[in-house]
Amino acid sequence: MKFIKNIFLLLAFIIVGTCSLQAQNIIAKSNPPKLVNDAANILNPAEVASLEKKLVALDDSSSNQIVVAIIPTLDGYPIEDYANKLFRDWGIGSKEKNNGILLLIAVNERKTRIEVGYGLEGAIPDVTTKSIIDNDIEPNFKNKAYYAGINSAIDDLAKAAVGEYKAPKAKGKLGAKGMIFLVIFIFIIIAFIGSRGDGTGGSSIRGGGFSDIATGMLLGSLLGGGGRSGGDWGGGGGGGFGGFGGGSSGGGGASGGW
Amino acid sequence: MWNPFKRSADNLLTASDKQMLVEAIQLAEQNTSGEIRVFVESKTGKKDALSRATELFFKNKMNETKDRNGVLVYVAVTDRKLAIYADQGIYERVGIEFWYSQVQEMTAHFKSMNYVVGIATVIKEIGQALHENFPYDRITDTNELSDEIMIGK
Repeated sequence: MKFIKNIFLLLAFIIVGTCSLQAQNIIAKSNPPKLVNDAANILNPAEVASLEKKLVALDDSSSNQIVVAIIPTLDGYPIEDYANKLFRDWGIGSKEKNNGILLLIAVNERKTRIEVGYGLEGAIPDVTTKSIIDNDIEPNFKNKAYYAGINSAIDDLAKAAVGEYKAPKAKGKLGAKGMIFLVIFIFIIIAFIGSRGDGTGGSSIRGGGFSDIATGMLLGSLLGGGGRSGGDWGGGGGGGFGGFGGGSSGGGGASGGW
Repeated sequence: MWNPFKRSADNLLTASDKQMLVEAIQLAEQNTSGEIRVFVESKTGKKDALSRATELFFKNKMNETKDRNGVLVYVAVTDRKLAIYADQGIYERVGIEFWYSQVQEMTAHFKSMNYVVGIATVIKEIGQALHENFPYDRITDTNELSDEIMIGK
């Protein structure tokens, strides 16, 4: 057994090793630098031009710099580290204000990350980036409405940067899905009460079990908005800093666990 | 029996451990203008280890060194996560493989519960990398950052 465990450890190290080599291969900054970078071709040229125009205007008016990077694949690299490195290497945001935001979309892995420069971390905490991914990105991307998802995420990030973003309340999100759960929940309660009236022990226990699951689902959909797969969608974190397109980029590092 | 759940930032390092690490930092900084600090806390909070290390790096004004060559070694004891964040100057000169190898070395020591040895070893190696890239200048160099080990919650 110990031998097998060692083999696994060795394999893990090899995989980790390969990953850190691949870390070098993040997509290159376009020349001249663009704020919208669609290396995976999920947007048409008109959509790219429209987003670019909006982001340039935002950069000019508020100096907050939002960069959209859409990549075909992460090459097995964790999205947190990829985003961190891209943010740093490209030098997103201004060097003095560290006010860059990176919206990174990995198409094959279906993962999104919003990396926020240190200067904006107060205005855009992790809970906000999570809310934007849940409410703007995820529902639209599920319908392959990439432009709509990115467009509304940009609008909300711009609002958040100046303190005007309000996360939609869970109540508003209850919608059709929540209603269905609610109906099923009530139905099961009725069935449960009915079965108790029958006095048949077995079905009463089963009824109880179902109602618990339904309660869980209902609570889940009320509290969390439901349908969110955990783990994949990270919040923002610190990154490197620098003037995008010429300025020097910031520091960086590596992380691990034991 | 060793219980990982009881481990927290307070009891990872004894007073003499801390003293040993401070001495390791002072030794590492002897031949370089670079600066090394260590931060130990229980949990990373809602962030991943690298983001938390980045935050602490800036909170403690470690980005204000003259040559942008500060390095923070970060450990979250209860979460069993660690990270190294290096400022632009030194980060770019040694390349990402160096930082990954330091993290791997540290996790290897931590897995066998050699916490002090693990931290001291990377302090020494980061010091060596700093020395190669930012040699000590007797006339201009000052100890820009405290060498004390920072202990969080």
